Amino acid sequence: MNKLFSKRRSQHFMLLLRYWRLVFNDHFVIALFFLFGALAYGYSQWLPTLGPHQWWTRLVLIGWFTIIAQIGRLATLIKRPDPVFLLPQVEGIHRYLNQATWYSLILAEIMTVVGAFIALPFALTTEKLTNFEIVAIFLVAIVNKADWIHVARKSLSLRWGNQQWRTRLEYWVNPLLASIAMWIVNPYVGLVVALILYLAVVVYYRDLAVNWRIAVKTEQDRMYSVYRFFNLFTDVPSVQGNTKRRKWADGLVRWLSKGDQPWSYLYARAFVRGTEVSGIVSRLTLLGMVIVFLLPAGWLNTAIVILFIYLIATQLMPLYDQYEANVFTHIYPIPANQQQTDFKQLLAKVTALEAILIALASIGWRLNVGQMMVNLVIAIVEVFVLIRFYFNVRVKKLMK
Amino acid sequence: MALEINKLVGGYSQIPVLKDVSFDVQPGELVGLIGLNGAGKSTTLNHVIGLLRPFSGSIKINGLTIQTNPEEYKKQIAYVPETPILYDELTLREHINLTIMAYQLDHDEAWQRATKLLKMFRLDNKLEWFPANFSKGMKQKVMICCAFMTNAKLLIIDEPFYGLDPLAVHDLLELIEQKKKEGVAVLMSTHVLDTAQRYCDRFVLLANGKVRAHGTLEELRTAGDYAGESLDEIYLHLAKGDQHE
Repeated sequence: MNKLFSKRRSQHFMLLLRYWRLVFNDHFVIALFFLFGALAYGYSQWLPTLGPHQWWTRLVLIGWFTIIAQIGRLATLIKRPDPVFLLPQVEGIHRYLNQATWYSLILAEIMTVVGAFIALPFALTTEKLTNFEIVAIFLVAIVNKADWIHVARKSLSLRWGNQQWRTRLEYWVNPLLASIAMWIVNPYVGLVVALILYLAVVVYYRDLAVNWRIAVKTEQDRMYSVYRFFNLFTDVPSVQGNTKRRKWADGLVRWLSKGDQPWSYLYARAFVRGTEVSGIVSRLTLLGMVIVFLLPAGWLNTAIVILFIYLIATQLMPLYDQYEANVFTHIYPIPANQQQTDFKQLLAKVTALEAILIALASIGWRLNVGQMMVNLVIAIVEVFVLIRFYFNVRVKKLMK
Repeated sequence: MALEINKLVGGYSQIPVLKDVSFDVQPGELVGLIGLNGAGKSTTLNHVIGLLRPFSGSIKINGLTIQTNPEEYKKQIAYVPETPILYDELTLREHINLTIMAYQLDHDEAWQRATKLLKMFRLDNKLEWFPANFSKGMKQKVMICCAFMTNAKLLIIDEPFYGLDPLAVHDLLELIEQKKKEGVAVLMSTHVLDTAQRYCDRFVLLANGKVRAHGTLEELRTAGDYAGESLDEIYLHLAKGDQHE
């Protein structure tokens, strides 16, 4: 029983490692690289334009330190059969959960410290801070997170597990109070508040006998969201895409399946109603639009437009095999090359639509029409090149 | 001759499952394909619908082969699979529309036929639903509707009775009867031998990938000296005989 957690932790690590390797194999690394580069560049350009201490800067800091306390969850690694097999292990499961809490705490603290570190240049620009105060700021972030994890731990208990609203409130209000004290009064007072809240939580919530139903459900939800994340990059067996009717999108379906060939009929519906591919494409399009909207005009803006159009186009490829396992697509009396033609048509339409949306968003909050027109022309050329060359090559590869 | 299988050797990988299978189905005739689990019934049907390529031998439908004229060949066939196979993203109405497009049917005329079938199976009020969420029996009914609304000359039906309620079984047999009158050839694999005995015109008994016997019930009886016995009993004799070999 004592070894159970460390065994599961190493299994869990292996699993994550396997998926991370797949994530960092894709074009996505390039995109992330650009994305972080662009954000860091934008951040560094933006800081000097700030005057010292405006009314809203402290609100931003309070908000930021409240949000970074939410990053990093309690990973218990409890599995569904555990309530049956471990039911008699009352003492053992207590130790197990303590180990899990420590493990989660360490990981969460690392992320919190990174989060606080990101805010530091902003804080130093807008506030006058001594070295001791900076240390206090980091300590507040760390104590806030420890507080948060303990609240998460008690939310799995028999006694408090069912009070979800209370748990949720504590997740947000405790760090918020400490952050307010830290930025409105001063970091030392913030630290004192954070410590008092932490002690209160630890002393008050001591009866932590586990509520199996909630513990299993919470861990399953957590794992599911982890899998969902990885599923953005690769196929995770336990995450299958759902189907949604999306009646409001019937116009889009009709436009995509124009011509009423069986394959275009199928692909249009697979794309719009399957949550997987359309989810990635719409999320990436939205992300791209937000980034090019916020990014100051210039070559970087155009580069991001080009990159996102390409990235989204690559995400459409898995649709080709959507119906490979369905016998009927093999026994319909349809010419063999019709599938390729119709698939390319869908690619062309979706890519064009998404390219136009991103290019339009690049008008930016400064309403730079010139920039937008340039991007629009480049986007149209890119879509043309993708359709003419790239898709032909990719679809031929898929045929094999 | 609607379907003509000649010395078919075939299977999934290198190892042949079917060894020298020959039989035919005439227009307006219902032929029952009978055999134990693993005898090669579904493999035979998969060859006929063109999912598998014969190692040797030939399959002809109205004189066409899949090698020389794949589209015309496929147009001759409608297929009801053993387990329902549906598109997750399509509503029932869209399944019907897709079938019309795939077989290039006349839209209004095909919808008339489809509506009649859907009414018969009490599915006409579920046109906007996703059949992927239906029960097994209802899914099977959708498959039947999609196959019977075409004007294919050869119907391939794989184990159609499982999961269907008695009324639907009766309706299906009625539909097959109608199709036969229109001159459609039907090849049906099944385990339900008493139903097969009553409705099939001829039988092909498969065992270990070979045709063990074929012909009408009378022919089977005289060939094996089983006078007066039912298809069930004849089949048990043959199957047990095989096991002792």
